[in-house]
Amino acid sequence: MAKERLLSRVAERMYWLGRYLERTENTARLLNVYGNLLYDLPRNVDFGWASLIDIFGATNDFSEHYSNRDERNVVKFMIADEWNPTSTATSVHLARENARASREGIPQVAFETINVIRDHVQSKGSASLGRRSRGEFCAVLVKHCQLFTGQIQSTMSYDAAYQFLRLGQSIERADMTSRIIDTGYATEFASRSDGAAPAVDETSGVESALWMSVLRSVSALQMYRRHYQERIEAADVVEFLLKNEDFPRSLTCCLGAARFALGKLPENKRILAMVYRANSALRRGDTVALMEEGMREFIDEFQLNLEKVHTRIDDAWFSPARPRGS
Amino acid sequence: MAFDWAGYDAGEFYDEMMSSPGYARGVARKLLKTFRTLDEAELNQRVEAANAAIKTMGITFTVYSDGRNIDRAWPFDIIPRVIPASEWEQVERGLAQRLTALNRFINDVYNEQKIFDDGIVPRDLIVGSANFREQCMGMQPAHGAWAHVCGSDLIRDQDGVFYVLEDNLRVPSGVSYMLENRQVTKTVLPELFEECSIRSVSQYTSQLSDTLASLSPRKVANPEIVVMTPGIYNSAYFEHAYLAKEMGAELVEGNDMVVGDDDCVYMKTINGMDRVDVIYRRIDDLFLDPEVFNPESALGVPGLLRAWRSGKVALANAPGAGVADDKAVYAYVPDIIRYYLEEEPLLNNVPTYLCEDKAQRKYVLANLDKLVVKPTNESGGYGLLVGPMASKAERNRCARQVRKDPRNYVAQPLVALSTAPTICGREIAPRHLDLRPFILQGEKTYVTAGGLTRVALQQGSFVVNSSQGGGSKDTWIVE
Repeated sequence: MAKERLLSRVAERMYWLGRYLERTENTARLLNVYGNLLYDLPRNVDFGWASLIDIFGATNDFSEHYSNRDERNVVKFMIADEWNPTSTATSVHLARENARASREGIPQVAFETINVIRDHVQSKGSASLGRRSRGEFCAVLVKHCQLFTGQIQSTMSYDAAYQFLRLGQSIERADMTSRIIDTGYATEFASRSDGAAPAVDETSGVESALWMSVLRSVSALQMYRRHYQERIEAADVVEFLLKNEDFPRSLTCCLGAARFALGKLPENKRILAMVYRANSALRRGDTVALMEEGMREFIDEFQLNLEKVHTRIDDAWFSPARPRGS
Repeated sequence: MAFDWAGYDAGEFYDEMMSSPGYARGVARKLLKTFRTLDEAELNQRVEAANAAIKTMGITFTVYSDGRNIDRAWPFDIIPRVIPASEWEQVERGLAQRLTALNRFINDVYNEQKIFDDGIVPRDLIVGSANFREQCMGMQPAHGAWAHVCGSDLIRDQDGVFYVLEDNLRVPSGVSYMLENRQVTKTVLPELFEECSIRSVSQYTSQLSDTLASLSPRKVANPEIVVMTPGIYNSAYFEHAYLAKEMGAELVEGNDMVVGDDDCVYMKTINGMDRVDVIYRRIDDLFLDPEVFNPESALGVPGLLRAWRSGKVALANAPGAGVADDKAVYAYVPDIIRYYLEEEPLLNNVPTYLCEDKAQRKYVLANLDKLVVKPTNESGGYGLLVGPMASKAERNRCARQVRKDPRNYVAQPLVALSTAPTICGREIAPRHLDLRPFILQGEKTYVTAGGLTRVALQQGSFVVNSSQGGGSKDTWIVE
């Protein structure tokens, strides 16, 4: 049987296509949930639109253009500003550029969906910054991104190009989930007036709203409830999102999806070992203990491991060495 | 309310579809019948459907404007342009004859140069040409073919006679639009295909694939063919990707390939290096190889010419083929056909005056108001002077340029280009058009059944290039 061929450059494009569309979907979902959370929180809680910028690590970019970290600016920054590398406008643009450059491998219907997504953001983005239109804009965007994933999974051959796409999605998804957990935890920490680590068994109304939003921002609320059947406990939420083996957006599941995709690629021993180590570190974490102390460092470590995996992907397949003579 | 075809009047121009107001030519009768049944609303519906299909299918082309690359939807007119099969037969033979002679010519230019010695074509016209590549001297590509893909532009004058306007032998583009135009028409006007017997165009990509495969230095069952593109920002990228997909060939950029110490070409894959046999390169000569040509080019592959000269890889079209793609050489093509094939040309040139020749230049300068003056090397319709429509100032400027650099200009009488019914807003009106068929030559020769018809969308305009606002039509060869 002939060995299947994939150009390094195309592999790289597919990987980034996966990452950018996943980023788009996550950003849109998060934005929607975030807004709803803020309406529910009492006004004295020190948690506002600015924190959203922090999740994306975009604080510097934001402050270069805006002095006021209010709702209007943050929303515009996250949806429409083309010079913001993490906005939906940018992610969608880059997703499409990557798709165009590797179009031969993507099913036509999926490519058309990317065009629809781009049109949606381009034509409606700037007009959807207000509270009423924003919800609809983001919901439609999330739906189309999910449509893309569905089309890919049902009409694209599970070839190497497909695996790179799924790999990109998984890595990005893991990255985003980890950031959201981190912010949720940091916010709860900050909401304690005495600055002590949150006591894990107490959950006030504020915290409930917070952790419910954390779950919603990764579409996990319904599945969490099926699993835990109790009221929302911070430690349970974190445990669910770190380690649940079945929920698609948990870190464990994301690593599993990455491992599966990597398993189908050539010369993958070293990188599979790296993913295995990241997963072991994840499993070793005692969530209850970490909630007392060390959770942020734990998540930091996870993100570092993820970054290493990303770098290794690049080295292994996107920039191969020159041939020697025959 | 349906359009009143009795009111359609092409005037003194030859109309491809209508022989007189209200009456269609034989092969177009069924077409007219169908269009008569569509009222304004239905016609608009079909036009909208076509535009939607083009948008969704992502059929685009890129225009360089205001310093930006703008991706535009392909401008398509839904009324097909119809040519009788009996007429096309003659044209087909003429085009095949022409390319055969041109390939013999190019091969001679880079080898024994007999045609210069025999005084048919002046040596310094060719050797001094910007497209002459010294690095190609002594090369003998497979089957004696240098230009494997040729786009020869055809026009019809008011007597309905076809003339070759120019030969494009370097990197001719447009065939993917020919193929997609057919796809769109099948989607939007399917009933026409039941009524009429229209020759298929879909075999083009397999003929292209066969032609390319016949050039492979390795005699294997499935030689590795790649389409080499400058990338997504090139105006013809859509076509590069389309052809690669249809042929099942890899679409590569310069950076995807390396030339090994063995002079073989390889592409970089996730599994390592894969050997390349034939490169259908859609990049100009000068950007192919920074080792040999433009050292700043990031689009090429260092050592590619070395690989080609060693016979380890085939390049289609071969470097240096452009030596015959020049309006000055064009004037000699009828003689070139007679010289190599000892036959009379089956297709005629438009009468052409070479400004380099003193007597012809004198005539041209005295008759600028009647002639079309063209730079010998520009493409895309830029740098053109259409004498009868130009202002005195424009004609004077042209005269100065001609005197300064006579080798670079030729002149032709303004051919009264044929027209065809085209939807213009709410009307159907005559618009001028041309035709670009594609001819393939490797081990065998193939001519497309029709080609890409390009329409000048502005009333009275003769400029059909898409980069300057032209549109296109599906082209039918009808039995």
